[in-house]
Amino acid sequence: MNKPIQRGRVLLIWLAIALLLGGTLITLKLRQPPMPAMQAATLLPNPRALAPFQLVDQQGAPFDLARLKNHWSLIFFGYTHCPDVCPTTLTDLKTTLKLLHQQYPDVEFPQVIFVSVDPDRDTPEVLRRYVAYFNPEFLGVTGSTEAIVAFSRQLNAFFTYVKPDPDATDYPVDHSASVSLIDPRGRLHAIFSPPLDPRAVAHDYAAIVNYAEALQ
Amino acid sequence: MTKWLLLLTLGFNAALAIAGDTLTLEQGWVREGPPGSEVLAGFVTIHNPTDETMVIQGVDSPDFEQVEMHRSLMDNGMARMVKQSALTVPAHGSLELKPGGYHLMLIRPRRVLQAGDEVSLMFHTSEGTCLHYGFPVRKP
Repeated sequence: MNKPIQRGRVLLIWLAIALLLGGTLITLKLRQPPMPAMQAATLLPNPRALAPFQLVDQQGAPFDLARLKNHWSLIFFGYTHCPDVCPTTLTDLKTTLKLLHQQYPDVEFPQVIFVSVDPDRDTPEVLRRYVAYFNPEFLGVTGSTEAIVAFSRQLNAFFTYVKPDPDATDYPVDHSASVSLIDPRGRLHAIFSPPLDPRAVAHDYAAIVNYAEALQ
Repeated sequence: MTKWLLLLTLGFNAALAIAGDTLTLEQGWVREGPPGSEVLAGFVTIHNPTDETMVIQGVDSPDFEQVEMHRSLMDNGMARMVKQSALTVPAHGSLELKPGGYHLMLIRPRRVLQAGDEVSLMFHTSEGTCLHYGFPVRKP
């Protein structure tokens, strides 16, 4: 006679434990800060891990996936013979860093990386002079055309150009004008589309980094 | 009386000059580039005070090997530069050359240029006139 009652009690206790656990989980989930609204960035629903690549920086040192790990990076594709859009974007990124310093001093600073899509004209030496002019901390990266194509595709960036002849030195390059945000795990995390507003980029960058850190 | 007539004539002439019979350029500047830059960009606002549409057919400069007129366009997130054979300024209107839009592409400077320098530019109109302007080089 006692057994069914005992079984019932055990069941009730388990039910109580389950409810308690479920409630705690729901509360934790609700306490998770909501993602702030973005002004300029498009977030990837699931950050995308990058495949290994082999490029070279402005000092001639190898630039591979390991160099995108353990810090945030902002990557822009362009070429140094670009008179308008590239200097405008690099100046906007320089302003973004200044705003981060002033308005979000506690947020981890990103590494800005300019990837040349014009390796014939942009040697590491040319890149060294070019990026240092905007900010000595900026990185300039180049490599073989194949490696640059593969890398840019991973970041949803594209470029195309037609050389009038193999030795031509004057030719424009069409290229993506967006800026990719890579997280410290080496994953494509968000994309900033043109035209860039440094205030909006600084705001979104700080929000994304703060949010990612709160989740850890 | 003669004095008044003279003043009136002077005033009339000044008014004519302001109304203008050709294009005027304002706030022209060249963006300083990194050392060794082979191309720079120039920007300016072109006003057309006349009753006719005016066209700039070409620009040249003793300070550059070549000057071209271009327009930066965003095409599905791709930045493209489109060479312009002419710049058209509507009657009683203006055309703004600014970063991310219409600009002058200044190719291979003949001397080292940095902020504080001035470059000389000649704008050739379809009317056959040549407008000579000095643009300062500066940082944005």
